[in-house]
Amino acid sequence: MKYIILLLSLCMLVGCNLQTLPPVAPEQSFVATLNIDEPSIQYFDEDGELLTTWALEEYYTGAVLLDEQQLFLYSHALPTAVVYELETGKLIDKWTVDAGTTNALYDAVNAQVILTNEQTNTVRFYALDGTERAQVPVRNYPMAMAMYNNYAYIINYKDTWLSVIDMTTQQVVTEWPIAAYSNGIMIDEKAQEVWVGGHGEGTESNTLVHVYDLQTGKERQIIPAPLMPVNIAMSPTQKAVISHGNNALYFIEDYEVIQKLTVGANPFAVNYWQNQWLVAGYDDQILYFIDDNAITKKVETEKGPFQLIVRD
Amino acid sequence: MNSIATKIGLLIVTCILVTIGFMYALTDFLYERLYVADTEVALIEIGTKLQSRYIDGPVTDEYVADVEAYNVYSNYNIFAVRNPKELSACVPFDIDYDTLIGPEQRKLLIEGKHFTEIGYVERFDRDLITVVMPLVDDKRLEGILYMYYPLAKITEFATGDFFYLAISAVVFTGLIALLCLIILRQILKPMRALLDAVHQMSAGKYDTRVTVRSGDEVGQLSQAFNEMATSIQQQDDAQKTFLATVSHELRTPISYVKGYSDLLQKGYVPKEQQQEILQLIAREATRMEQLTTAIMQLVRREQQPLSLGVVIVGELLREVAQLLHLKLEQKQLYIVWLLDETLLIHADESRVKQLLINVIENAILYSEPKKPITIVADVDGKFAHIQIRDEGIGIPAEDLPHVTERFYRVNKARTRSDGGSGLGLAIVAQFIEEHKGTLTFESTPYYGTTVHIRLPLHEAFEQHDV
Repeated sequence: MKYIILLLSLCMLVGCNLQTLPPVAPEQSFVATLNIDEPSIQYFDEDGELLTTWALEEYYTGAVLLDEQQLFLYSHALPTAVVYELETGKLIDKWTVDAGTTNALYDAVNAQVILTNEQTNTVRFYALDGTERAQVPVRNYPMAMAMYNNYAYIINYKDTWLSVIDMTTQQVVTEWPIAAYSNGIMIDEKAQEVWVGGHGEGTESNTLVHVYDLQTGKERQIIPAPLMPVNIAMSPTQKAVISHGNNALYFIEDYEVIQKLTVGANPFAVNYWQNQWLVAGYDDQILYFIDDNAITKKVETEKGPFQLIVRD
Repeated sequence: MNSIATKIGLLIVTCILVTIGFMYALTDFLYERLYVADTEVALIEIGTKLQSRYIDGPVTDEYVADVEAYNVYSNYNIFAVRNPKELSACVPFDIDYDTLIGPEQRKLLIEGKHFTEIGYVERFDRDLITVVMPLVDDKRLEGILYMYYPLAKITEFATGDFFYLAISAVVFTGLIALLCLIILRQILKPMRALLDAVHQMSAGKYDTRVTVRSGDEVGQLSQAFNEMATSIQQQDDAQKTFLATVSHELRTPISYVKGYSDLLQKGYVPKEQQQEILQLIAREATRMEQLTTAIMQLVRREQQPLSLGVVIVGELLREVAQLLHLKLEQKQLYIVWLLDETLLIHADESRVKQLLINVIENAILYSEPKKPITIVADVDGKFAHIQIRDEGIGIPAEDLPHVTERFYRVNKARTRSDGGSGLGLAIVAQFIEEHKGTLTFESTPYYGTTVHIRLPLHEAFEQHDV
């Protein structure tokens, strides 16, 4: 009896480390929606079939895959982040981070996780065991991130600067001017470009996507994509920009919108996966599968699908 | 603060304040219920009509202009909003912007429901009743109809007059308080008089009385006070009379004793008369002794509590007769017994014995020689009824009510030569009263007297009897 109590108290002390969620087979490719209104993660296959649902106890606001086999979850409100193993569904690690985390990136080359924190206005580098390697002070409210060639490109959301950080030395190497309240960043390696969207400041809704030179930060193009383009994805031939203000998905070729597709209600996330586009409608709670620039499938999700995580 | 007038006054003022507060709350409630509800219904009605003009898809410029045109002519403020930022569309993001509707409201609107809000709206810097209706296409919140009416128009009216209302409330409360105080003082005036009277009474002025002005509780209290004062005064008078009588009663034998002893001392009395004088002195001394014993009895008995127990009436009567047999023999009297031998009373034996001695002694004293004294004891309801009848000189009817008074004399001319202390029946009356019994006299002059004594039966006897 004593041992059971001891075991139970230990379990409580480590925060119920024994919590297990349904497993996701290692070879299974999936698209997962992170639903933030009532916290859960739903895994779907390429046909839109629901594989499994992870009902979460905490309000996690973002997720990133670590080495394709683990899912790292963070919360803007919580000073902890968690790591689940997909194959077993087990909670395998808990990291202590500061509250205010706005985004996470997995840097496989340097075996680290990069977190942006809007309360301390820093970019944090963590080893995969959860120990912090470095804190890099940046501008006001770092959030959107992309990486290329050992550099992390950080959008400072409530500022007018994009910070470029060397991921090995963990130093800010340069800053480029951008629009305030920018959000959504995508790097086109082939074209050596950075695409940046945004909400716009105050009552004004941003309508533009800015394309910058990846090396110099010079603005190359401005593409109108109203209202409030906040996420950008690319296929081998096209870019797609999702504008949540008017529920529009813009297909872009050669910096020209070739088609506008009305999709979802208040969609925030777009992704290109398994030769199809994916859009999550936040208000209508639907995951859209789009092929040949037309909606091919609608799949209902739990409340508030906000982010898409894909694995090939 | 200790005055009742102040307390009641405060109570009344508090009641008034509570009433005013309640009325204010009620008015507020009715205003909200009636006026605000009415406005809400009107806004919803207009909103529903305007909503029906919206056709699916993005909210068009024409629609916005249409609503704006309506707004120009309407009493209410109505506009269509389609800026997603105002509609909390960016909610997962922190956009540092005070949106027109909140995220929870957005959820309601997406479901096609409208909502009403009453209260201060920072953007318009005033209190509003706001009704928001959705322009929703499927699950897309394309826009809203934002309709409001300033509550200020009603509350401002109230605020304008609020000052006067508040002032009049204060003045009204003050006046009422003053009035209450005056009336209460008037009502409670006899109380003050009563208080003064009580103080005077405490100081020994037993003739103090208050004027009874009303028949209310205060009046009744004054009346009761007067009765009490009268009673106390009578008691006091009785006490004084008693002391005066005692002094007087003692003075006669003392003057005898003093006079005769003076004569003896100075040798004015011839030898052959000396014996007679000494007898006189002895007789007067005996009388003084009897008197003081009787007084002592009265006083001591008043102080001692009753020691109640079962008393066998027949036995006690015989015992008393035995004690008095010498006196009976002296006058050649005989007793006729008519006794219920089972009679038990609940009483203090020594006191009952004493009172019986006194009564039978009287019977002996006032009986003609060779006459019978009849002693009857039987049950009368819950009492033992003892009758002691003599065939003596009797008591005149006018004296009967007074025979138990201390030192009362039936024959005013008679000296104390009959040997009575003047306290015997007073003691009897007092003892019977202590036992919650009754004492009555029945007498015909020159024929005889019957004393009726009723004492409570012993409960056990009663139960046995039943």
